[in-house]
Amino acid sequence: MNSPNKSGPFTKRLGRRRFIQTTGVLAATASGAIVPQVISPRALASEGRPGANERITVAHIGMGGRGKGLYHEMADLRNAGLCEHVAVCDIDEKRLEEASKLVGPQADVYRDYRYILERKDVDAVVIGTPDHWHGVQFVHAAECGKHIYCEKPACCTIEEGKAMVAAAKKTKIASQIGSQGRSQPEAYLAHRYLVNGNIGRVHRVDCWHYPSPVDNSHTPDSDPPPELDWDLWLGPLRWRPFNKRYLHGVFRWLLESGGGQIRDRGAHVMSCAMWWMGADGTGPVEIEATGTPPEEGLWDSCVEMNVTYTFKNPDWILTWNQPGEPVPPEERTGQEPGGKISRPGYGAVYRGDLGTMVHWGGDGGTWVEKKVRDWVPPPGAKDVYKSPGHFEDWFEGIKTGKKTIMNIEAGVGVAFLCILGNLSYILGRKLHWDPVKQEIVGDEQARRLMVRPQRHPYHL
Amino acid sequence: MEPLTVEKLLELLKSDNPIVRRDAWLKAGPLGADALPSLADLAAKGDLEVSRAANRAMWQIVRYAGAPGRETERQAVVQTLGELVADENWPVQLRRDMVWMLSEILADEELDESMALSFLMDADLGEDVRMALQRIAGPKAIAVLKAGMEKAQGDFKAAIACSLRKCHVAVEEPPCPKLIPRKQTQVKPVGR
Repeated sequence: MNSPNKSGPFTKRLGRRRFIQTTGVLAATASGAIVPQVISPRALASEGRPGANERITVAHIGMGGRGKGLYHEMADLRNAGLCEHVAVCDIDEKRLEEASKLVGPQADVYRDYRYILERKDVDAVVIGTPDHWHGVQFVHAAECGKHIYCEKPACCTIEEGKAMVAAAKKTKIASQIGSQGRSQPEAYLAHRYLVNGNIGRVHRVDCWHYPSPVDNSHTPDSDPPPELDWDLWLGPLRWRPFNKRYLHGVFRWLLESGGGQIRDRGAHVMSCAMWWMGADGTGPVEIEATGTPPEEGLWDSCVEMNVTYTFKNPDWILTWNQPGEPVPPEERTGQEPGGKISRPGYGAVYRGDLGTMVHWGGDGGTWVEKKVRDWVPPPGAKDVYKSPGHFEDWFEGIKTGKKTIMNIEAGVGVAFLCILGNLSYILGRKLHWDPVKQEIVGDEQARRLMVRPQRHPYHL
Repeated sequence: MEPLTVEKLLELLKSDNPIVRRDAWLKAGPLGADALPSLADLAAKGDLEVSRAANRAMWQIVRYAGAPGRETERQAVVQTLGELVADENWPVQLRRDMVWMLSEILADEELDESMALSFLMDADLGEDVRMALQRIAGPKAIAVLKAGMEKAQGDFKAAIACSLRKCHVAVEEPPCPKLIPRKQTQVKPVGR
């Protein structure tokens, strides 16, 4: 059995780090929460961030398909000696065992992520869990002073999103949400092309995406497999019997735990739209969705779906369409900044007064039209931020305190689009949104659905 | 087109054709409270996919009735769900679903505090009722949570305290244990 905070490589690391004095293992805060008194001054950022040449100690929460992918995506940073991986966590013992083999003997293993949050030597956490855990784990990690990389979409409810932003702001941690499309080389080109007015004022962005899958397996509830901690998998969700069609990976086809394509890929494609349109920090005033649910099975997110978001001041329209009107991918040589287009099944068309611009993908693969790649900025052209890479940008945020490209405010803003689209769909009516107060107005049932109370003790 | 009745809805939901079932539950909303008892029965006793379709029809009714301007329909649905959830003959998971349905549309002033307290202290329903009351968050819901905290013990007492804090009620004890790790793995780190 694993025993946290014992000797080993971890103890050695403790010796070369500065830590605040602790008065005990736990103490209660004014909010009533018992929190570990283990926040290092480095993590709190006000006194000392990691030095330019100091390794960032990282722990991974969730080591399934995407969680392992995130570990692999950090290879360049690891190889450059910029970080070390000191712990991995998963609620599936088989996955945890595989993770240990992958990461190596220097990493401790945990089932319960809160052991990681207790550790003084962990600077940062990478959260690669199902969506319904993001809000709670992000807030808990921030409250313990950890810098956070969290998979998209940031949150499942409006309440979660607000709590995440508040926690990050209060503790001054650096956060990055995993909508890594913003950090792709061709995303920079697209952004620069648009802000220089090449298609005029953009008044409409139409996203397309192929439909969500249907579960026609007719799988009844059953006992969970012995390696799985079903209670911890559910976490904040209300309790229900195990069904193997909830996991792994397929959680995203359920409204409660994932939310369908509009959340899984909407958090990428619409993230690009909000970034390029300069719309971070804003939101729509009306949201209207229609959709077609699966004809049967456990999964309940839309197979096909259309959502229209109406923004005001400036006025523009954003639409999400499953399947919409896909634009065939361009022929490419593979020598372009983003290489060949491998995911043409989703993207967006930007419609301006003077023309259109198309991009494909929007996540780890983001590709734009040839005319955009070939455009040479004339003297005096505006430039835009060019991300050094999504993890690299986060590391800069940790070390310097600069705002990251997909910081929690931006991540939550995009997640709110996804959430509001699904709420309009399940309620079958148009929603009115106050983007300043971040509240649904004029609809008491919809307003209540901004909150989904969570199971004890897995709550905000 | 033939108007949809409760009887016709039930017939369609029992169809062997999944598309017929799906299209039927999608149209259930306007049937309102009158359809709920029969749908609950079908959700409790139907085959897997028929049960799911009946359950989704119930949710469709709740979402329809909760729309602005449908106060009469909403009150009727609340009344019927309140009666159904009190019936212990239904499967526990279905009763929990009904608690969550009520959490979306039950007005605080409609809350029967005595009954809500008994549900809050119910071993099967209590945790879901706690979350529903937290979502409703009006004076009566908060009063029930406070009364429940007086009676509750251990972890459930802490859970109710956390709900009250979410409702902006100052509660000092018991503290929130959300950050305390509880579960250890059997996996040993590779190579150790």
